[in-house]
Amino acid sequence: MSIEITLTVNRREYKVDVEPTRTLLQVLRDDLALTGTKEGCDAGDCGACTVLWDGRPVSSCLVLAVEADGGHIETVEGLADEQGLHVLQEAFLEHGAAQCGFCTPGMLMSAKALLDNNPHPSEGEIRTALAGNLCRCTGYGKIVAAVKHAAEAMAASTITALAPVATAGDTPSERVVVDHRGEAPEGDGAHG
Amino acid sequence: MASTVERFGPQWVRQDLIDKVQGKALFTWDVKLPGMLHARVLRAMVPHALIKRIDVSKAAKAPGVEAVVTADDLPDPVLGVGVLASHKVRYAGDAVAAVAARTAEQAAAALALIEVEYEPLPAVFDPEEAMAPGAPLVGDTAAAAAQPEGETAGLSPNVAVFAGIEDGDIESAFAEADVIVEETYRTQMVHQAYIEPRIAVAQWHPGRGYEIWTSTQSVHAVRADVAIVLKEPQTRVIVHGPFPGGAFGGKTGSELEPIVCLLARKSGRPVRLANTREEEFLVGNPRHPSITYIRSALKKDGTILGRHVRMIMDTGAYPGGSAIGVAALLSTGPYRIGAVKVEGYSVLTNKSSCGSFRGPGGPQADFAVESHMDSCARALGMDPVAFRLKNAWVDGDRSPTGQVMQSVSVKECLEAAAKAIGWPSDPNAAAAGSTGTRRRGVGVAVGWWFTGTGASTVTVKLNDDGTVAVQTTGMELGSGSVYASLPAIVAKELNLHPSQVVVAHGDTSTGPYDVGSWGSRITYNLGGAARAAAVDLAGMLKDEAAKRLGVSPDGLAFGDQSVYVQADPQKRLGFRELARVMYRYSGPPVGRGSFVYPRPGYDRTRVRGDASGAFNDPAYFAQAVEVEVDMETGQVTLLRAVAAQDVGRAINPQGIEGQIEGGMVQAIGQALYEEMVWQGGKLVNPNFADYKLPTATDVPAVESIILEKPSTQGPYGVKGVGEPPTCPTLAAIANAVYQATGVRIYETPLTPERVFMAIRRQNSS
Amino acid sequence: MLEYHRPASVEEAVGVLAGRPGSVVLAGGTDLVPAYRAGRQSVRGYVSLRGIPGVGELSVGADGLVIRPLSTHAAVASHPEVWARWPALAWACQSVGSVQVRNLGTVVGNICHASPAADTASALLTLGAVVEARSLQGTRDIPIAEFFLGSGRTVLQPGEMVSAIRVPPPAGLGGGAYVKISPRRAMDIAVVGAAVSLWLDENGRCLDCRVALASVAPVPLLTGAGAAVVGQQLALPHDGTWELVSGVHDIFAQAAQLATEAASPISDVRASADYRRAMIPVAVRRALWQALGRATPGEWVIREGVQA
Ligand SMILES: Cc1cc2nc3c(=O)[nH]c(=O)nc-3n(C[C@H](O)[C@H](O)[C@H](O)COP(=O)(O)OP(=O)(O)OC[C@H]3O[C@@H](n4cnc5c(N)ncnc54)[C@H](O)[C@@H]3O)c2cc1C
Ligand code: FES
Ligand code: FES
Repeated sequence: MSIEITLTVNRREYKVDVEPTRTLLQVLRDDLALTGTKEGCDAGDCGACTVLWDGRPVSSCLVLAVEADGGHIETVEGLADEQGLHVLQEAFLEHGAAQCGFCTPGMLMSAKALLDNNPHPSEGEIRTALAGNLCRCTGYGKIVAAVKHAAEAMAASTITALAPVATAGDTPSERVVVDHRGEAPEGDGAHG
Repeated sequence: MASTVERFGPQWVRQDLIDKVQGKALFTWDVKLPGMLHARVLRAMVPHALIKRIDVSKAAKAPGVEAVVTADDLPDPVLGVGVLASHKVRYAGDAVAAVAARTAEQAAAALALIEVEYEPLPAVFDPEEAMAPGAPLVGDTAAAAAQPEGETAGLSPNVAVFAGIEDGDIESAFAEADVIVEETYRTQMVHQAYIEPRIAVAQWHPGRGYEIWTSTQSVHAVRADVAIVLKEPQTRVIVHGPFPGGAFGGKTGSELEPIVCLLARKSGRPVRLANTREEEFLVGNPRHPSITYIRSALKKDGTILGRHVRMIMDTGAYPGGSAIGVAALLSTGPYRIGAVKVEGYSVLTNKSSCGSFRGPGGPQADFAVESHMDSCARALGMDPVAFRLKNAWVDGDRSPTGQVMQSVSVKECLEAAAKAIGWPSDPNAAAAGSTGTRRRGVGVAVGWWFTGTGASTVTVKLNDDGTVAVQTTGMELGSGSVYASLPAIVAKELNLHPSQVVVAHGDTSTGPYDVGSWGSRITYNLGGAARAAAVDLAGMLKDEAAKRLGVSPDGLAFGDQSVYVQADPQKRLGFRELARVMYRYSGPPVGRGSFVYPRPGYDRTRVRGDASGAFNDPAYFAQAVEVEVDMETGQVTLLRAVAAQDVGRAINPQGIEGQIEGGMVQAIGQALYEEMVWQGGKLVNPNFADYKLPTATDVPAVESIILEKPSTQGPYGVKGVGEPPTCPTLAAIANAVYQATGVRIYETPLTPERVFMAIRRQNSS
Repeated sequence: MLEYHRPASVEEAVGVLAGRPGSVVLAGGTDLVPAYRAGRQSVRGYVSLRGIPGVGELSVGADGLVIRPLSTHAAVASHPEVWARWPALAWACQSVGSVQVRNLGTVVGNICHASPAADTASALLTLGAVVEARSLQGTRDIPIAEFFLGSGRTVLQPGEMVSAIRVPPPAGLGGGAYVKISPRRAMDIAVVGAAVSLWLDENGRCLDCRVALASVAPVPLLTGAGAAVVGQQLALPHDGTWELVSGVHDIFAQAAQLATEAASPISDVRASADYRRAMIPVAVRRALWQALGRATPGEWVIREGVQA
């Protein structure tokens, strides 16, 4: 049973016939030859396959392609435009935030979703936003620094100041509330 | 020696990163050939068994299947030990058969149709049990039947390697001691866990041989292995190395390549064979688990009279790359010690075959000896930093094997790290704010590590537009040692900007030989070769220019892509012009260089078995951490992580920081989170959900301090960089936990459960 | 060949479930897709929810919160009203996996998968949520405390699907918390999870308190531990803020003890039963203090001798 779906990938529309078993990751890589998006586990655990689906970062290995029918997908290939590299890509280069480069496309997409939604993230917010992207090479320090730098660069430049995407929300205000009493949670999230 | 140093060259963006941030760099995962099939491997589900029968007939007829192979397809099953099992499987994970089909799903479905009849054998999983005489024999029965002699006499033939060191009279050292400290340390099995699993694509060209694309650290190692296993001359094996998506020692030899070649040959089609993440955990070559019995004879004043180490490494199903030889030399630490005795064993068990993982042997040995150094200091009532400084080597000291140490910087590294972490004046007092539920503490550890050797060749050619290309088969694993350091070195010799030097990283048929990207050796060896090649080319250019300008070559210099007369800079010849005339008339401007380093001397009488005799141009380093321990849960949170490392000469400081930060975080993973858990011969957590790599929320930004004390032989004084950062972290963290809680943890990882249970035991005793 | 259905309404969806036995509801797919791909699960077909209008909406009103079948963890955890009124649930959703997983995974999928470790299940247990199940036979309401039968098993019948989870409004000055004990701070399954919801009257007396646990029993476990807290004076109003009364420490310790007794943890690759048992009181106590803090906002007044 193969089904025709329409995907808008990096602002370009594609019609593809897919089996319902195929993941968005497979369709992007095999059918659309967009191999920038990587596969590291095929189980949702590493984040190498992160793409934006209607503005939200998702693991494309967890999404059946048929489910994304009609959706807007952004991949690493869509970051740069005629003007040149995206600010995040420039920042990754400047900070040496990629080593082997295999996690890099997914990292960049998670970082883009963060900055689209929260132009002035704290270090904690950056780390939380990237927690689903494993990197075995860098130890994360240079990646976090690059994202911070990109945020500053975007804030400084009027042209690149982006309108926040309302749908990408994953940063509840509660997380920044520090509870001083009792045995309050520390760090981000509901950790004991 | 200082941490802010004269820059070697300008900071610029290396070529491969520009592709990588756009998702355009080619990884083997991305290789797609016309008509390509997809393969899967059938792996044993039993830990130890004889293979009585394999029937692939049903699988061969399954939908989409184009080829099925077993050990019968190998030219010689003996050469294929560890590739495809012929008569016996040694662990649950051994490859038994492989299928190539039109889709990976079809290949997977066909695996289920292969019938294998096993006759189970008794298995052994604990290395100490495996050492004992009479233990089930993991190896091939014939080879295993030979009774060990010498150092391992009386032990089981499962002892694959012995490594011993003896220096001085250990008995009298202990007889004279004021204080004896005796402890046992254990480390776990951890995986390199690169994000791109192993993968290989192969094509068979009838009459011409195999062409392979693979995620590897060495195209030449793969070529050599494949040629041996498939009994082909190396001329009939071409290996391409796209960028590997991480390696860390896990991609040093062949693994999938011979299998995928057999399938390609049998099917007549290109075949892709990729490990699933689960397989990757099973069939990798993880870090050897270890048990270390260590005891020291001490004088009250802090002198170390003697140290005795007995270390057992669990090497799993195949001897693989042994780490015990290196660990033996590391296991007493970079200290002046009166007498030393080390006995190291690498022992076969029915589990994944262990091998090289970034700093093989280093974290195991360093965890034991550097935790132990803290215990010794505390037993003497000394400050652990002061105790180390008192005993640390300085130039001219001798290693336990008699190597005379030069360019030693243990003290400088330790002082830098201790200062950066704010080492307390009274380390035995509780840290500020360190009462109640959350306790803080700091810890340090030092280490030393060799700079890897092995042959490297590089050619440097002048293009006819005046730009320069470096040709190499060195693999760029991500550190920048190939794509940043080589251009920087060549640029330095020709006075160019590194961006004017392009790296062409070739395959085995076109690129000059390099043994492989491992052992912290690339900037040192390949860098040495690149420098020699650049010097060779520089000489040619000067000779040619001298002829044309009618001057002596001695007075010539490079600048602005030209050769000029130093005394009269207007007199010059551009590289472009030179290249044109040389290509036409006097021979192509191609410099060649190679680098092989003569090994340092040592006293052979002190070394037994496979113990390392000497370390080539060692690097020294120290790390310091601050932790917070949640006394109620046992959770250890790293607040700060500092690494001071002597790199000899920092060719690419940003790349070095990247190595230090990434290496230390890998070690934080081993220290706190990661473990391959085996139960009854089965790996129970072969996935990233339960094999827990640290995430961005779990680690602080590593603060790196780069020190430079030039090596004796490396180009510009460089020392190895990549492996050291993994070595001292485990002990630094355990030492900090001790300072915070008063509880010594003898085993990694320091999971919340392990720390909690240790605290509870201490509280109840 | 795997079937894929994309019904346009819940009615149509239950029709497919009834007519094609072996088909399963596909929500975010974060449990289903990897299980299928790893060959751990065979299904006849997926019934997608993406064609159903409004299926991901959250509604918040006077009569409470309605979670629909495609409401994701991210949607719940980015809703300010949920943080204010049902904090245990917000914290639980926020603790799930990673951004990528929270953007796909749903609360309904989390409870239907019925893992004992499901983070949102214990939060919903403390909130007295009601699961609305639909089939061709009609709609029935299942109190969430009766929903779970065992690991991976629920009371849902073949042909039945969850059409909503209804969470009643807070029963007073509300506070809640979810404390998750796991080695990593993200991307981790609970070794022990403790959800607490408690409500006070305006005088600081506890009207109701519920404590539920993750990963310590074959099902997400609603304990009776709240009984130790209900009816107790936990704080006193004090000039627009709150004064902590003495004895809270002991009350919470007693609740933690009761919760521990209710649990029957096992050993697995993530932790030993022994460690889990030791962590239950820690997690419960911490969750109670956090919940109390949220129910009584502002800086506490703490008199000498009162243990906080
Ligand atoms: C990387 C990763 C990390 C994770 N971390 C966590 C974590 O920290 N905590 C945690 O609790 N879980 C975690 N999970 C598990 C999973 O994400 C959650 O359980 C999630 O909430 C499942 O929701 P879903 O919508 O993706 O479910 P699906 O996979 O779509 O479905 C799950 C099950 O529920 C059934 N189902 C779904 N909707 C309905 C319905 N309306 N009616 C009847 N049956 C239905 C499906 O048929 C299926 O059996 C993680 C998963 C991954 C991949
Ligand atoms: S490949 Fe999708 S998360 Fe790893
Ligand atoms: S750069 Fe290699 S995994 Fe991140």
